Amino acid sequence: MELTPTQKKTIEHQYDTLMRDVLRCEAKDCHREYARKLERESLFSELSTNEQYQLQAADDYPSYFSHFNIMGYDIAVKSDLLGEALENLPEKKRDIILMAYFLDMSDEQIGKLWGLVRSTIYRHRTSTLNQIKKYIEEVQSDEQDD
Amino acid sequence: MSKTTKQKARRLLPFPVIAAAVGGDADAMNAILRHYSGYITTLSTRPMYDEYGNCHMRVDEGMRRRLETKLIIKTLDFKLA
Repeated sequence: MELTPTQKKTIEHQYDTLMRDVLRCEAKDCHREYARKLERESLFSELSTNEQYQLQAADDYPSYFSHFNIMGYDIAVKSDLLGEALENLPEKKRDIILMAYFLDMSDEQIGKLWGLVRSTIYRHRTSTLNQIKKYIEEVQSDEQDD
Repeated sequence: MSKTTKQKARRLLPFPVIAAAVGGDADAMNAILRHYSGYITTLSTRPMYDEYGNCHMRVDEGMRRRLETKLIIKTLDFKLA
């Protein structure tokens, strides 16, 4: 079907109006999008140090930890200092610390396991803690001297 | 009065070009893009800030491309009565 010149003229106008509308609306959409992005996005360079730390993740490898075995559980200690301190303890004292602080056992439970009374375990535990404290303080003061 | 003269002054795309572009003709599509390039440039001009905080009116290339794409999509969708 051939269109009359008037109809063609009408289509030309319709097309022009439609395209201008489309472009105007799309531009509006764009501006709205930019405004929303501006509101929600921020530049890496403008983040505070604290916020940047939240974005990073470090891989953990078994070799980064000091490992201790107690009652079939493998206990990984991340802090080098604490790991060293624990390694330097006699085995029995280390076991008390591991059981008390990593397995959440009470003095009484530990005592029952070894046939000792609660107060003995308590004494061992507090003295071992002091020993660890002393060791860590020594290492730290050595580091400061260096 | 001024409005009508302005509208009269607006050049319209000839019907054969529209028909060819709707039919998928690349040259006609380029002609249409050229025809609307001025309007698109005007629409995609926005203030940009440089690192010193100075404001410049610049054409946002990404936005220009987006408007051109939209124009092409809508042209292909256009129903010739």
